[in-house]
Amino acid sequence: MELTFRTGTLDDIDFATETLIEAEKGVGIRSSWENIFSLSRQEIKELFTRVLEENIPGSEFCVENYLLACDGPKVVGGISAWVEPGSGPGSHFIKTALLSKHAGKELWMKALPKLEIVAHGLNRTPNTLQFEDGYVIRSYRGNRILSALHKFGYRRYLEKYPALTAAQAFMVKGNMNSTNPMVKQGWKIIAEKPGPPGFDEIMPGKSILHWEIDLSPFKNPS
Amino acid sequence: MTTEQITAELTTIFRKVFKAPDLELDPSLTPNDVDNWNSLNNTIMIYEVEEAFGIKIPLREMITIKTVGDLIAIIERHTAA
Repeated sequence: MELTFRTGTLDDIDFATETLIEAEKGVGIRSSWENIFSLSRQEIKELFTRVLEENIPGSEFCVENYLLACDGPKVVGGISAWVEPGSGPGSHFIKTALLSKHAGKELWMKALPKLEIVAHGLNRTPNTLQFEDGYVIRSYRGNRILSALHKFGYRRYLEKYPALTAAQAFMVKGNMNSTNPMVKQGWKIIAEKPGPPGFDEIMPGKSILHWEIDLSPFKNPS
Repeated sequence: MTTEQITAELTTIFRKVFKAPDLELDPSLTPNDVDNWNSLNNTIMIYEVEEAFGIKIPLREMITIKTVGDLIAIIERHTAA
């Protein structure tokens, strides 16, 4: 197996959709998205496909923000990454605009109480590299592919934004399968935020862990 | 509609959605300046604006809104059409 890495294109929407759903499942059967919108897996896939076809950068809902690992032509793992804006609408504004427009008012308003629960305390730091929704297909797990995707992301974004100092990620506590390689790479938990009542009925855990890594060891010496 | 009429209607919407009964709108206001102007409430505010002004704000315009002034300009453009 010789892996190559690249960024996503509109041809990768199916894999990005799979990543968005599978990364939010944890060890459960239903993804948090299915719980939030009370939709079937197929209906969520169709919603995400419409959202991703917009190709608006700045959040995990942009396929060109996906870093992908490939075994030959086959995409075997992915993670979304972007730099949180220092001014203007943050990624949450972009993400909710995309979702609300494509879900429609009725479905959005119905999902709003659950969205308020899961959005609680998720404040992304401006001008940091953000990672979200990592996923590797089952038969390729155990090969540190997410770790390699992180490193690919550091290189790619530090080339483009040399002033970046840190990368961050939010993960639900309990969805910890992929965190050992993160710790070895230098990631640290900087905060744990308990979810409000009802959080664990939607998400695969009771609290959110805020992770960060110092990017200075990954910068090329000048 | 005049800018003043739009601002007056928008003030009513902002006060209701962001639960800020004394809020005075200024074109330079950003989400950072208004308590409760978060991403979720932003979508509710946009729905209210669309209903009040009888317009549809396209997604690509919605994500360009950085200030109250940007929103007023979008409403002016769509109500003039």
